Amino acid sequence: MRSFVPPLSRMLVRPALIIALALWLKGGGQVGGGFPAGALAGLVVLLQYVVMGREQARRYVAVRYAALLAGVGLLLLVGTSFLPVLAGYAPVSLFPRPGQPELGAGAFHLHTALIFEGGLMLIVFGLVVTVIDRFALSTSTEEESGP
Amino acid sequence: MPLLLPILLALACAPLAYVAGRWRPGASAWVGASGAVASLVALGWELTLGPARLVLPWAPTWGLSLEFTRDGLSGLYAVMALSVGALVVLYSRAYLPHHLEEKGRPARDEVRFHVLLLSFMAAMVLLVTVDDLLLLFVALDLTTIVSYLLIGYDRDDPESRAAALLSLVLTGATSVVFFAGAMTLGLQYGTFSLPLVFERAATSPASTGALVCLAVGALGKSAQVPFHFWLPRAMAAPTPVSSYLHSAAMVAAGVFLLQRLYPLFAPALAVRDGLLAIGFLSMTVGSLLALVADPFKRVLAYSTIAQYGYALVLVALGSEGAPFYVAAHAPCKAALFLTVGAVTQVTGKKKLSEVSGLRHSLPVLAGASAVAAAGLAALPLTVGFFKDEVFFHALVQRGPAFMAAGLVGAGLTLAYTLRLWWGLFGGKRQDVPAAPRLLVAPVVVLAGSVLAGGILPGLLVEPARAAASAMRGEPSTLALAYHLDARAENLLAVGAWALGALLFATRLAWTPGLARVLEVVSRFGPELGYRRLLHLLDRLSTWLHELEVRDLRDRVASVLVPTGLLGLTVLWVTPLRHRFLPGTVGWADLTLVMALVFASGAALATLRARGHMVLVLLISCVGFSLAMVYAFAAAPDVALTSVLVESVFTLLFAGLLALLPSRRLERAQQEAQKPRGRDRISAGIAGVSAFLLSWSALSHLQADRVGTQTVKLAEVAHSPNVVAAVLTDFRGLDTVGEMSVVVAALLGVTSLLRLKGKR
Amino acid sequence: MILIASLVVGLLFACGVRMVLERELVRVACGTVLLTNSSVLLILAGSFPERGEAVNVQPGFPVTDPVLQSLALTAIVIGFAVSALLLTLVHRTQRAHGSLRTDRLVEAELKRAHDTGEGTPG
Repeated sequence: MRSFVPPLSRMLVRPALIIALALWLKGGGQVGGGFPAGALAGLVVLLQYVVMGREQARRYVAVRYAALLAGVGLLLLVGTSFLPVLAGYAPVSLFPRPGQPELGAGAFHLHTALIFEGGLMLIVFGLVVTVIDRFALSTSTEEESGP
Repeated sequence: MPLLLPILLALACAPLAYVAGRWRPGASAWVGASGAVASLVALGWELTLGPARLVLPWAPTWGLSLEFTRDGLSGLYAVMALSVGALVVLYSRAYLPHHLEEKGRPARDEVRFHVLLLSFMAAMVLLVTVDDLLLLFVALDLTTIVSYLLIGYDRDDPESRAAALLSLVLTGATSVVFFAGAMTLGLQYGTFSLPLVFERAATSPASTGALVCLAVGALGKSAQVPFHFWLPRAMAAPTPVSSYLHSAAMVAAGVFLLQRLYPLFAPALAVRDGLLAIGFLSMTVGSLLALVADPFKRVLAYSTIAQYGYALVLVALGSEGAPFYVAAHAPCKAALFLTVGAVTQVTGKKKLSEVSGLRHSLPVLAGASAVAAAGLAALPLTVGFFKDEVFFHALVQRGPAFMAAGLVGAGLTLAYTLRLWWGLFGGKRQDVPAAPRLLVAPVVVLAGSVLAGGILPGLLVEPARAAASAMRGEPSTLALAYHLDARAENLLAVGAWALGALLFATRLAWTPGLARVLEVVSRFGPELGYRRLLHLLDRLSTWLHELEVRDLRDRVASVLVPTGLLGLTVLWVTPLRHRFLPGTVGWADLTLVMALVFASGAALATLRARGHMVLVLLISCVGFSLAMVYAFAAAPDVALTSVLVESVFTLLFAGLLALLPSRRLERAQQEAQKPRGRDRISAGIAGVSAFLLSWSALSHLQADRVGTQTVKLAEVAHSPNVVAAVLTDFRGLDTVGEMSVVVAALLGVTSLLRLKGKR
Repeated sequence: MILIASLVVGLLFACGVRMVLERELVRVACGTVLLTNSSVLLILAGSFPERGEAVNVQPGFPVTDPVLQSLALTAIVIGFAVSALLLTLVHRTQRAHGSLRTDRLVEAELKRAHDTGEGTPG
C-alpha cells in the first residue's frame, strides 16, 4: 500500500489546487467561493502531511508561510472593505458598482468581490494548515509528554 | 473655538510635565505649573469676553453633542482649580523628594506625582466647563479615577491603598447613582444639554427620584454625612494631594454639581430641605470631630467636611453666596494644609500633641498660616469674613433657629481653628530647622490672597455675582462690604467669635469627655457599615467562586439550564396564535427526512460510543449526514463547504487522538464517571427548550423574506450566485467580522502551540 | 417538515449538552461540535419549506433563501475555527496538566488559588 499512496497523493496536489482556484474564481457565478476553496486547498495539504510527513509537506512554500498568507488574506479583506471609505463610499462597496459595465466571460467576471473572496480563501487555508502543522510538529517532538 | 483654549492648555499640562520629567525630574513641576498659569491667563482673557457656549456635534442622530460653557460659575471654579493647582504643584516639588526618600522610592517617581496632579487639575477644569449631563458624569468619573491614583500614591503602604480603594468605591458608587439620575433626566427631557434641560424643567419639574440621585452623587463627592468617612481616611495621601483634593478640587466638585444643577433643585423644596438637614449635620459632625482629632491633617479633613456642610446649607437655601463661599474657603484650607505638610516635613511629627511653639523657628510660616486660619475662622480683614457674612445673611432670612445653628457652627469653627494654629505654633518653644523656601512660598501667596480679598472686597463682588447669577439663572445683587452697625449678621459674627474664644479657653475641661463620646459614637457610624458590607461581599464572592470552580460541569449546567428554563417560560408567556405548526411532508421531502433521521441516529449513537475513534467517526457521520440534508435542501454552497470542512475536521480530530497518549486516553475513558442523573435532566431541559424554541421560530417564518429582495439585487450587483453576493456584498461587514474570528482562532492556535515546543 | 426539523435540532442540542457535561475533554469538544451542528441546521431549516434554485435564479421559480444559506455558511466557518481552537486547547491542556479530565483541572485550579491565597495575607 505504501508503494503507490505517496506518489498518488503528490499527483493529486495540482488538480486539487486547480479545482480550489476554480472554486474561488467562479464563486460569483456558480457554486463555490472563498470558503470551500480554502478548505479544499487545506485538505490537500492535510493529505500531504498524513501521507508523507511534516518534512515532505513543508517543501511547498505556501505551507511554510501559511500563517503569513492568512495575514495577507486579512489585509486583502480589510483593504477591499475599507479602502472605498477613503474615496467616500460606504464600507464594503464593491467595484464595479451596480449598473456599471464589467469585464468577463461565462461564470468569470472581474470584480473586487474576487479579491474579497481571495482573502477568505487565504485565511481559511492559513488556519487549516497552521493547525495541521502545529499538530504534526507536536507528534514529532512531543514524546516526553506529561509529568 | 477660543472657549476651549484654557481646557486644552490644562489638558496639555500633564503630558508636557511628563516629557519634561523624562528629561529632568525636577523640571516637570515647573513646566506643569507654567502650563497651569498659561491656562489661567487664557481663562482670564476669556472671562473678559463675557459668557459663551460652544456646541460640538458628536452623535447628532442620538442628539448627543459635546457642550461647553463659559460663565461666572465655571470661571470661578476653574480659576480656583488652576491657581491652587499651580501652587500645589510647585509646593510638591519641594515636598516630594523628601517624602519619596522616606518611603524608600526612587526620586524619579516624583514625575508621576506631578503628572497625576496635573491630570486631576485638567479633569477638574473639564468638569466645571462642560455643559452637558453626560459629559458632567464623564468628567466626574475622571476626577474619581485620578483621585484614586493620587490617594494611593504610596502604593507600598497598605493603609494608603485601602484609603484609595475606599474613596474610589464611595465616590465611584455615588457617581453611578448620579449617572442614573442624569439618565433619568435625559430620558425625561429628551436631551442631555443642560440649558435645554433647565428650560424644559421650568415647565415640568424634574422627578424627585432623579434629583435625589443627582444629590447623592454630589454628596458622595463632597464627603457629606453619611458619606463623610472617606475623607479623613484619604489623609493617608501625601499632603499636597490632601491640600488640593480637599480645598479646590475633588470635594468642591460635589458642591459645584449642586450649584450647576441648581435650577433643577430650585422648585423641589423637599429635596432642598433634605440637603439642608444633611448640611447642618455635616457641619456639626465635622466640627465636633475636628475639635478632638489629634493628627493635624485629620483636623483639617474634618474641618473640610464641616465647611462643605456650610456650602451645602447655602445651596439648599438657594443663597447667592454659595459659589463665593467655596471660593473663599479654598485658599484658606489649601494654605493650612500646605502649612501642616511643611511642619510634618520639618519636624517629622504628625500629631498636635507632639509639636508646639514652632513660631520661633518658622516665623514666616506661622504668620502666613495665621492669616489663613483667620480666614477659615472668618475674622475681619480676611476674605473669610465675607464667607461667613453671606452665610449669616442667608440664615437670617430663615429665622432664629437657623441663626442659632449658624452661630454655634461658626463658633466651633473658630475654636478648632484656634486649637490647630495654637497647637502648632503656640505654647512651649521647640527648635526645628528652617523650612525650605519653596515649601513656605505657596502658603505666603495663598495667605496674601486671603488678606487681599479681605481688605479689598470690592474686587470680589464682580466674580461672585457672575457665579451667583450663573447658578440661579437670575441677576445677582450680592454685596460684599464692611458695615459697622448692629445688623444681625454682625451680631452673629461677634457672638460666634465670643463662643469660639470661650470654647478655646476652656478646652482642657471638655476635650477628653467629648473625645470619649465621639469615639463611642463613631464605632457605630457608617464606616462600620461599609466595612461589614465589604467583608460580606468578599465572602460572597469567595463562596461563589468555590462553588463554581468545584465542578466544571456544574458551571456549564448552571448556564444552560436556567437559559433553557427561561426559553420555556418565554414560550409559555408569549401569546402567539398558531404557535406551533407541524408543517407538511410530501414525497419530495423523503430524502431530506431520511438524511435527518440518519443524523439523529448518529448523534444518539455518540452517547453510547465507548472508544474515542468511534466517537469521532460518529461525529463526522452526523456532520456528513447534515451535509446531505443541506444538499437535498437545495443549498449547494452550504453542502459543499460543509463536506469540505467536515473532512478537514475529522482528519484533525483523528490527528489529535493520535497526539494524545493512548494510555491516558484509555484511562480517561475508564475513569469517566457514569453519567449523573442531573446531567441527563440538564440535557433534557436544554434539548426540549431548543426543540420548542426552534419549532416556534420555524412556525413563524414570514412569507415576505429578505431573501427575495436579495435575489433581485444580486442581478444588479453582477453576481449570479446570490449566496456569494450576500456574503461578499450585502453582508460584507459580517464576513469581515467572521474572518476576524477565524484569524483570532489562528492566533490562538499559534500561541498555544509554540513552534519551539517551549511552554 | 417543520416539526421534524425542529425535533432533530432539539435532539442534536440535547446530545451536545449531554456530551459537554461529560468529565472528559475529548467528549466535551465533541459536544460543542454537535451544538454547532444543531445551530447550523436550525438556521438552514428556515429555508426547508421553500426549496428551489440557488444559482442562476429564473424569475417565477422557487428560490432557496440565500440569506439563510449565507448565514449557515458563516456559522459553519466560525464553528470550524472555534472547534480547531478547541482541539488545540485539549491538546495543550493535556500537555500542561497531564490529564484529560475536568475534575483534575479543577483540583489544580483550587490548589493554585489556595497557594496564592496563602502567599498574600489579607
